[in-house]
Amino acid sequence: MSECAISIRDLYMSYGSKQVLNGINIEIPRGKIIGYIGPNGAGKSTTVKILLGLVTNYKGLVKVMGQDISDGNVEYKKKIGYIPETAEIYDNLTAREYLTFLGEMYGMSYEEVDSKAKKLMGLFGIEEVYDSRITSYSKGMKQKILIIASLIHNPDVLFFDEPLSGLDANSALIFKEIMSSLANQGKTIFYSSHIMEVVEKISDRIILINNGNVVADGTFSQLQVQSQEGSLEEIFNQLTGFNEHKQIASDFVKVIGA
Amino acid sequence: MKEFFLLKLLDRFASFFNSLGINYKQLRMILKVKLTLDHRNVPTIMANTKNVENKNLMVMSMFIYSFMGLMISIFVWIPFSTFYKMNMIFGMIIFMILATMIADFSTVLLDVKDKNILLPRPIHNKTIKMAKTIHILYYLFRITLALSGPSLLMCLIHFGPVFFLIMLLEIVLICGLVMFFTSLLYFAILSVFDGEKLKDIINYFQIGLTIFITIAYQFIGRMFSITQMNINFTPKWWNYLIPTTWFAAPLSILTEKSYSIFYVASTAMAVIIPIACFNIYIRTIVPYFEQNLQKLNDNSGGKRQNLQVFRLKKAIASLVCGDKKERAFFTFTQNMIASERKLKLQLYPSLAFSIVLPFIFIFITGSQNSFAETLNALHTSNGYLCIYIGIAMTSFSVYFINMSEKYKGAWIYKALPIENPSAMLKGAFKAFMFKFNIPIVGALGIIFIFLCGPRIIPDVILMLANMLLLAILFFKLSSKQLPFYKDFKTMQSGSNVGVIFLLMFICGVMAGIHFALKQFVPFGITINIAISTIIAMLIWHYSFKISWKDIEINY
Repeated sequence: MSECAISIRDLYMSYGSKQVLNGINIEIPRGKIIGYIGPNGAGKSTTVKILLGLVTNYKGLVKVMGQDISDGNVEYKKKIGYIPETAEIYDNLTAREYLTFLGEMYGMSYEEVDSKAKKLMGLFGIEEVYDSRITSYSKGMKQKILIIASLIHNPDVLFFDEPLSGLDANSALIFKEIMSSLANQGKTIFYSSHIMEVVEKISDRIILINNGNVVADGTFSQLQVQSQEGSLEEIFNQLTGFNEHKQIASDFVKVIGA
Repeated sequence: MKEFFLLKLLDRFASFFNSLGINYKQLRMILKVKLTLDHRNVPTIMANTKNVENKNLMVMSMFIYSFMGLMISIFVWIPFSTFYKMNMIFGMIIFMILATMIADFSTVLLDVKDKNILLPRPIHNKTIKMAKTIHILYYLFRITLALSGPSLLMCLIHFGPVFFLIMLLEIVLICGLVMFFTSLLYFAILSVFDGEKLKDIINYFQIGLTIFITIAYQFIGRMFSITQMNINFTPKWWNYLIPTTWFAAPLSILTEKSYSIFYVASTAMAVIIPIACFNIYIRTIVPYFEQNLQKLNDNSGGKRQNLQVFRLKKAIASLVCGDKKERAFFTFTQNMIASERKLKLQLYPSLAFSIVLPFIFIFITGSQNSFAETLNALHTSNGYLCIYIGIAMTSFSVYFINMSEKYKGAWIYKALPIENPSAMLKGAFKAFMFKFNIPIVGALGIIFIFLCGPRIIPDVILMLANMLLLAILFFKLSSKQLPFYKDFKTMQSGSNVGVIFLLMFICGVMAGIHFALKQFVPFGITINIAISTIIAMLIWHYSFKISWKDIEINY
């Protein structure tokens, strides 16, 4: 169990002439919740897409659970669960159909996925829509389906991109609790979000990237010491070189009233 | 999810797939989901009901294809040489399949949704590719069967079983070739364009194709009289380049014992080229697609607004809309229709016909005469009344005012403080008129003034008045819904034809009155212009007092 859950060495990626990642190095041991933050367009989702195999023409070495993901072997994806930020779903299917389909893709038996999915939906309080089409779901219900879909095959590494979006406070509370028990079981969670308060509270370690570079990497208290700031939000502002929020806000309000 | 026949068939080849390094169990699941989804493309109204499997649409389209196939099969009985006949038949079949592939399967071929759902799962690339290929082939075969089935049957009766079997084999080869051509075309488009531009290009391409096919059909009747002569075929070098000759050649060898080198070489090409093409498709084009599909989601590259066009638009808007909110809706509608691809795809072909059909009509009715004679006759005849066909076709646009791909965005109407919804409807209506109807009918009028002489200027003015009257009447009669409010899916595929017929009928009546007043009443045209204008204005002013209560809201 000594090897890293995720290991990224000298990762470069560009779209055309636009350089998105400039040599990222990250080593993540198992059983940790990693807050992965950065401003819009910093390269967060590109990193996650590379780890998932959605983007392949990168440069560098990327290993998930010790396996180099560039060799074309898809076995490692069995150990991965993923909640995308803007999710595509075959929403003309019912939850039963969609979830069993995905479960079977992971090699589970239909009966196993079916009973698991049903129980999980019940725990989230949406059991009654199990046989309705996903198109008819509310945003929160869809998010719950995505959460269940990412966990149903009991993966070891989890990529969550804004997983709380659309969830009510109670469901969000359940989900945070789920994350910490999963981490205690030795699962690794790669948590990406713009809500700094949540990241600050749940993360064992925080990685901040800006312009395709890692600009901070450590526990929350380490970052506090390093940057002499109190909250993660302030640390974020400082490290991304942003300090004119008051000015912009006051200009903004002036324009509205003008 | 029900069990599909295709899957049961594939089950027999499970071990074959597995030996290719494909996970058959996964392949089967993916295909099952895809087929189920295809069956479920139903109106959103029914989306909440459990397990509605809508087969009607599919059965309907298969029926249409079979009907076309039946028309094609008539050629089997025409006493031409087999070679010529089969060239015609294959030509039409290939063209039809290619057209449907390009129009309908861009969605399957260029699907990016798949990638985001399937790629994060432990599914090997080979499996995904195979699933996609089988999915496309399945539909390709279905359409091909419907289109070529009748001809195959006729050939079986007319030429016997050996001919039938060879032809059947050739049809399979044709499918491979069509796959190749379709993807080659998208391959070319994909490598040149990206993002929104790419989607636009595909859109325009589909529109162009729809127009081309329909016009081509108009001409088939005429072609017959031209080609009903003895055909002496002497092979030329470029004949080798025409796919239909490859496929017609072996059948000619069979029935006409034409063993010359041309026929033998063509036969060889009929076998070799499709197989080679299909290989290239699998090996080169499919991987290329996978890499470049990303481009579809690329939305970078902003467009700068042309200042002069912007000023012109603004001037027109303030000229035609007195009310401020109405003006806002006028501009909004024009901007919306500029970017609605589905609207363009459905509406532009009928707009193009509204320009083309009047001319086709003139030349069909005058088909005994030469081209120049027909043109000359226009100087004295009442041929310009054909503009009414164009008016009927353009008025169809009104039908689309409340349709949108992004119909869900219509919640804004209710959130906005709009006391009087008629401003919205009027603004949107005017925008449609200025974007489509007035320019098109105006252009038709100008062309006809050139052809028929300035004597018809009053008639053209009357026609413009009648066009507005028809559009207002039609708008008034159609259901009162907010602009861009309904999904295209709610539009019934059959109802378009009914609407067009109704418009044609009213237009016919208008043309009749126009003609009668002109012939038999002094100052008839002037009187008619006055009457049409007054009726139009009355309807516009008195029946457009719409309140929120009258609006159909179906959330």
